[in-house]
Amino acid sequence: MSLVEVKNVSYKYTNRENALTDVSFNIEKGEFVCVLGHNGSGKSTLAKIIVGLLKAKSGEVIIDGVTLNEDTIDSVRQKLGIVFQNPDNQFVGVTVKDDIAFGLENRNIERSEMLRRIEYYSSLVDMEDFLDKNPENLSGGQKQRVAIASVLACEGEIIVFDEATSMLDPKGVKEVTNAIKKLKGQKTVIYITHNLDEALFCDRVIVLSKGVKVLDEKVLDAFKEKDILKSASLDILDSMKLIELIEEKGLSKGKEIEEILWQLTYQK
Amino acid sequence: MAINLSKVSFAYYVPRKKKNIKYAVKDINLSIGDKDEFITIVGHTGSGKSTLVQMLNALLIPTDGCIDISGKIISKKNENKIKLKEVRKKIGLVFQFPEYQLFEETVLQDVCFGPKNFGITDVTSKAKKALELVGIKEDIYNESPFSLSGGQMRRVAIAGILASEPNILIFDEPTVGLDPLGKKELLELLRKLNKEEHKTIILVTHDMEIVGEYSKRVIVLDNGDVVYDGDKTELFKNEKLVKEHSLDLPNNVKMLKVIKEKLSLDNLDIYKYNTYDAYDELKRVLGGNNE
Ligand SMILES: Nc1ncnc2c1ncn2[C@@H]1O[C@H](COP(=O)(O)OP(=O)(O)OP(=O)(O)O)[C@@H](O)[C@H]1O
Ligand SMILES: Nc1ncnc2c1ncn2[C@@H]1O[C@H](COP(=O)(O)OP(=O)(O)OP(=O)(O)O)[C@@H](O)[C@H]1O
Ligand SMILES: [Mg+2]
Ligand SMILES: [Mg+2]
Repeated sequence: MSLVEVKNVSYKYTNRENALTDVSFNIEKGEFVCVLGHNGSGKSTLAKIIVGLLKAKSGEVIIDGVTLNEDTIDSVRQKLGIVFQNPDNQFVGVTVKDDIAFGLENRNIERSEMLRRIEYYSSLVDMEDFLDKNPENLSGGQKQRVAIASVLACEGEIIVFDEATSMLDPKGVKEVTNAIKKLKGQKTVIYITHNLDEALFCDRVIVLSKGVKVLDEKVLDAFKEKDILKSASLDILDSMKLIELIEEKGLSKGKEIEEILWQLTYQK
Repeated sequence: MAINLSKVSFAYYVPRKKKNIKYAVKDINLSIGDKDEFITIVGHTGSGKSTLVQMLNALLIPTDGCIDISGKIISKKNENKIKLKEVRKKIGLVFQFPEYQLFEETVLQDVCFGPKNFGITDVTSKAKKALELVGIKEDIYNESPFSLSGGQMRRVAIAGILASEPNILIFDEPTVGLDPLGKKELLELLRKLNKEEHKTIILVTHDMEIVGEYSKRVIVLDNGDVVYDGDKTELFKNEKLVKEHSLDLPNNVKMLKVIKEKLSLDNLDIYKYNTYDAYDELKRVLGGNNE
């Protein structure tokens, strides 16, 4: 049995075309899955269905053997966390500290543990000096950092990141993705992004196009599917573009250089 | 004609004891041409980028210092005399969070709002053209802008500024949330506006690929200060500075740097910002024949 089973899920907003059509896949415990797709392809809709914020119009989502429905959602939700695409949709507290504490209170975490986690996760995202600030009065990147800390602090088993690092500076992206990488093997992660370099730390890539799953492959194999990626408004990695050009036009020591570029890609 | 900032500071909150004031941006001097510039503004989370660009179109008024926009002065002292509409017709800004820019009932009405407000003619056809340029199809013209996906909202917000045809276009992290094709199309469009219509383009971004490939001048902020203002390649050559300010090198530069080291190619110029230039440089140094 897989930890997450998405079975023939479809979704439609009123008066709109299908946002998702018959999407199915399984995710194993400890797996990191990257979801890519053009704007409006259904990524955020899928994320909300997996964490039980939207109900599939048909099909089902099974988390750890339990089918999501009105009766089961409250207990299953304890295992789930989602960092929203817009961090402002996340905030519930009037201070950063309250915001991180909120999810912990809901999970009946005892006070000393709560304080430990607030300290630990706020410094993990470099926001320990902002604990008493109102999340509304932060910069875009600061908001994203807080949203990430609040969700990580709950230590749920399955965490969905919906473009969670899109507004961080390059160093911030590295720090946060390193922290997420450390969860490998323990947590199950669904990572939505438009940044192909960030896909590289995941095990697997799922590509949505117009609400349909068009690709589901191990990460490096996925990047070889150039035509599918292009048709889904995506692209290939810069390293692969250079390799392609070298093969097409020729270069002395080309093979050696391609080898170096592959190593750089694998390293990530 | 230009925008000149002299000793501009901004604080979101001014305490009664002014010595306790915490500035988001402080003591900035800058001069920005109102034609032909392509500037990126970069820097650590919270360094003051959004605050700075909001002052450039008078959404925020400097706490201290003044901004001179082609002879019109924006400062706390003459706050009430500033003709905001005139400033914003000339200088358009797309917010970091497009959600807060959108407010009309439908997508099309939203894009029409700017040009209508500024007394521009042919509003609807301009709005439709702008929507087409950002890849928004007719089937959602009549939907509420709030029922869109994140990237779709961003595109609509961008269309609103394009349709208003300002001389200076400022975008706060415009490619966040755009898919790779959308990002490329937007940047090519901005490049064209810059080259053919001589618009000044200012982009706040964390994306070093954009800094390398598209901008001429780059401004680095750190903790409210301008710590670098100049040529992008000079910035990337100064790796200490790049590191200190939480930046990075663009992908092609990183790749060429490793190749240069591993193959000891002393005269390889690693400051190439796209695949084609990188390949050409390798070919120049190595020759084009497969061995
Ligand atoms: N609240 C809503 N009401 C009506 N339609 C919606 C709503 N939210 C999303 N949609 C539509 O559903 C489709 C899928 O949207 P979704 O937000 O899942 O896309 P996405 O893949 O996350 O896109 P992005 O990369 O832009 O964030 C889009 O066509 C969008 O316009
Ligand atoms: N509305 C606000 N009220 C109070 N302080 C604010 C407000 N907005 C921003 N700040 C503070 O001002 C400083 C500069 O913020 P600004 O939004 O200009 O940063 P930024 O460089 O755009 O960052 P990011 O890359 O994260 O968007 C930050 O320390 C931030 O916390
Ligand atoms: Mg989305
Ligand atoms: Mg900002």
